[in-house]
Amino acid sequence: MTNHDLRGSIAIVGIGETEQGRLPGRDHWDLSVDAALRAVRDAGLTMADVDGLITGGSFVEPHAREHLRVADMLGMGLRRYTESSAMGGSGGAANLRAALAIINAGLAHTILVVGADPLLSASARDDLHESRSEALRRIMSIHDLEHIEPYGPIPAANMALIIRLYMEKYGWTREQFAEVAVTHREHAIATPGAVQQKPITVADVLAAPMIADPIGRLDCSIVTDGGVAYVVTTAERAKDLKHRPAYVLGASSIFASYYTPNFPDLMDYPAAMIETTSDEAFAMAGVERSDIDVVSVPDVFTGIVPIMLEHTKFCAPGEAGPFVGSGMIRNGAGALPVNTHGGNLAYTHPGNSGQTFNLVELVKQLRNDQGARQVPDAELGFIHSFGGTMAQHTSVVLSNSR
Amino acid sequence: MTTAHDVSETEPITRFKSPQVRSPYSGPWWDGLRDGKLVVQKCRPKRHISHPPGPVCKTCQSGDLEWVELSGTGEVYTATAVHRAMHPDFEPDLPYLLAYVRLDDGPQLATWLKDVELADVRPGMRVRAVFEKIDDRTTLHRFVPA
Repeated sequence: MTNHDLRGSIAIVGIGETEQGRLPGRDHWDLSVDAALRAVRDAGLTMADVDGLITGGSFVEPHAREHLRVADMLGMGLRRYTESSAMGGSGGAANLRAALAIINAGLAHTILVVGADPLLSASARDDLHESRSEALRRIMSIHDLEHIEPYGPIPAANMALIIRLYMEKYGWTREQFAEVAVTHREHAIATPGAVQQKPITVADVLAAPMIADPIGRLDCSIVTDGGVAYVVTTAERAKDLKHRPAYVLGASSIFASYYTPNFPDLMDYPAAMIETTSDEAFAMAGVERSDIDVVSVPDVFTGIVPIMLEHTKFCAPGEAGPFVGSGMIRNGAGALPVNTHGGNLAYTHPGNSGQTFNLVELVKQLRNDQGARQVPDAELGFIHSFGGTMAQHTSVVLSNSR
Repeated sequence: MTTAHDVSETEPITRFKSPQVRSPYSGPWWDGLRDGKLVVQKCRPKRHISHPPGPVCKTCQSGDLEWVELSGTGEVYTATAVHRAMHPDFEPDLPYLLAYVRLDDGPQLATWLKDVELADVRPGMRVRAVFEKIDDRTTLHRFVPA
């Protein structure tokens, strides 16, 4: 559901990222505060200007009142809105959509959204691509511990169950997915602060050890430590701040069960959710897919990217596999720049907040100050984001003008 | 009842395959698995199958629930071969075939396929339930070609 009257009523005015990668000794609280302060300063604000806080939940240090503790560590004064909103990977976008309601209802005027976790350092092995780890066990805790976890459904396997259906239906190939990994790695190498800086080839991706067929090790997102935050406020307040605002033109969310076996199917059912939120976000924004300059979609595993591009309707049914496989999502050379920072495959992925970096990347591109990797004259950005196994969906259209 | 693979009771209790926290609603489900049966909740008013076990029917929210035994037959919807364990408990099983199986008379289950290779698994393939004892508390379902 969307309220078209709210189009362009709020904007992201500040973004903050901690250092990303392996950050031993830093906990989720420290990373949250670091990211939050960077975002507030980036906006040209002080903590006194912020009257709302939404925190995204931690795998490593779960805490029932996370938002209150982060606020205390930040030295926030009295707040008008505060909550912890553990929406998994969709948190960054879903909380932006929530902020749209909160701010327009007059409950708060300037909201700080924060997510952080030292997911890599909490894991047993110091390897960005290692899947057998404490980190993974923590990620698994999102599932039904009693009825699903005993069957060992690692995240790659849950997604492989879906990706294989698309390969069967359309003839999509591992080579096409490998090109997604290569493209994201190239994007990361071009982006300051990205974790993965070593070039890879399609052959490297195909030769990497299999994790869950058809997902190999280099088809998997990385695991890192890090934090991210953004500040969102009214369009009225946004226009006098430090950076060019990223206005929220349209936003829509829909949430399904985390118990994926009760999805009626793994194609049409999640597809309908993705189509619903993206159609509603575009209708609210009053723009078309063809107007979009830069896109972010979940890239937790390479094969997910074409599925997202199909159901957000940037590609016709079946065409997204060949589309990503022929380099069409490459920044500069392709038809549709996707995850221009390298996404969770290569930029960073510290757990819950991973896709928040995909949102922040759109804000960067809409500021038009990204140098050689700038999408030329980018005015409109689109993000689709999901949590769980395609369970919790949010689509957002952003623009640097109202 | 077929037992695909027994784990010696002298081995340590496997934390991941043998969930330590169980909902107060799921006793008959676990008892059923131990006895080689798939026993699930069904609401009396509308005859909806409701799984996993809970306080009310997930379709109509009725709290008037009974337990029924399913046939244990169904078909494969989708499957993958898992080559990397999330925990050492799963290492002896690698690669295991994780699948969604659609039961003829019940819910879709996340389960393992046994006695078949991934390359030979086809969507719609007929399968039947077998039962694998994990430890004294826990037996899990597996499915094999029917």
